Amino acid sequence: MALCLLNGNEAAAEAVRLARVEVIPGYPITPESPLIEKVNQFIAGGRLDGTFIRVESDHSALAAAVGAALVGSRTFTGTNSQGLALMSEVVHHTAGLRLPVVMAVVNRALSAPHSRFPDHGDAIAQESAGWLQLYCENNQEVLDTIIQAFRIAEDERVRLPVMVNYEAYIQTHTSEPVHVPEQVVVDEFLPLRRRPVLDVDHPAAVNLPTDHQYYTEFKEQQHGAMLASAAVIREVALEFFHRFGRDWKGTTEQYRCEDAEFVMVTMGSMVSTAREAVDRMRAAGRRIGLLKVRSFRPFPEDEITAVAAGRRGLVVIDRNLVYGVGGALAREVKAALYGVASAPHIYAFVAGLGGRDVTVDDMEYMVSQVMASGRERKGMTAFDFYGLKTS
Amino acid sequence: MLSDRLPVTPMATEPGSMSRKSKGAWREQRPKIKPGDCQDCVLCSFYCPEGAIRVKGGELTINLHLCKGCGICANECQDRIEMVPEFEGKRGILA
Repeated sequence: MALCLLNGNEAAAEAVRLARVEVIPGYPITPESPLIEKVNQFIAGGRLDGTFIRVESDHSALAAAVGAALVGSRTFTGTNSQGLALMSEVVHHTAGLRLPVVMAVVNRALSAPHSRFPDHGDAIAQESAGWLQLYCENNQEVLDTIIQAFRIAEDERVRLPVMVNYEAYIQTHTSEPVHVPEQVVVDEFLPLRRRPVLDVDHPAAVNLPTDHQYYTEFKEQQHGAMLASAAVIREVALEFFHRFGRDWKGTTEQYRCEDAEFVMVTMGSMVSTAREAVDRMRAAGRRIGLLKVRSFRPFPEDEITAVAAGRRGLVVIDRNLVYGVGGALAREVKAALYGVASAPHIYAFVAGLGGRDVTVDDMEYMVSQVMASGRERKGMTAFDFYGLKTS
Repeated sequence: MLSDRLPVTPMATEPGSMSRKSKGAWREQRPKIKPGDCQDCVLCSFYCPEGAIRVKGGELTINLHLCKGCGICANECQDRIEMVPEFEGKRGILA
């Protein structure tokens, strides 16, 4: 195992190499482009025995990935923001066809106004497309999660595509020390489970018109696979820990939640910031914990309910905005706690949109506001735009 | 359960398999023959857009593999035909 200085895109590319991905269609888009460049360097240098397919759009990139996955190839692509929006039609196809494609989604704000900076809104817009969505807090987690994602996607109980999310610039263009595992260990962890759907000797028509007679049943199957994937994510994280020594827990992770009165809930790069905020507030004698949501789809309702029990409040911080509603994470947390007796109050912040920095100080300030306010928020809970400029 | 018999990837594995499928499967309601005298007018048969009804000597037969459940026959002959819901299973918590 080598310790390297890698940015998020490089870490993702190393994972693609180690996973021995066979087909990588790609349409580079800033700031995901260096991932595609790095993968091509591996192919050109003979370090990855894969095929890169040049296409004319992101829509075509995922369409090519669907084709490759249908014949049983291990398939990967990457995109962000506008690219993901353009792919959207095929995003739904991939999940409906139950293909184990893994896609790196570099979370970048959606236009308009045009922005190249971090925001989870692009992936959140695809929340009902049927893909698993895992969010990474640092570059090591990007590498490890892409390797895990193939195991999860290819599992017989799941057979669904997985988005591995990491943020524009904060992760794509920031280098961190990353352990790059040995190929032989990854090979043992990730054998290729080829499951071709198409076969030239047995012709088949895929994605044929399906009326109301079967559509509900296909959707129920997809829903069942999504629900079943939660256990698989946890299982795979545990086996990964045993083989590689790094524990990403699965669908959520509790950080210093024991005896916490308030628990912060967030995902993506803000998790690593929140860890420091918790440490600092704990040092000052405040009983604060953190719940990292690693899997937004499937949404770990059971773990949310468990961690919420007995707390005074949850402070949910979203780097996305669902217009007219608030943050998607806060919305899901509220839904999970609906009808739960003595559920804590939920204080929701939308912060860091379009890459506005969210620092340890900011998080400490949010929690202080909540603790000082003593607001009794019952029923429909409002949310606050953190740091909204008024002049 | 039906979903256990469906393929994981929505697909047809044999060429021409669509032609063997029942065309009546997307029906929401089906014609039901009511007891009573048939006048042998064969209007039901004339108006059926699918050719699903045969009338011979006052005997009415309906081919449910062809019938799409449009209800035109029941509109033409309210004496002998009524439309009944196709789905008779569980509809939710109230049924």
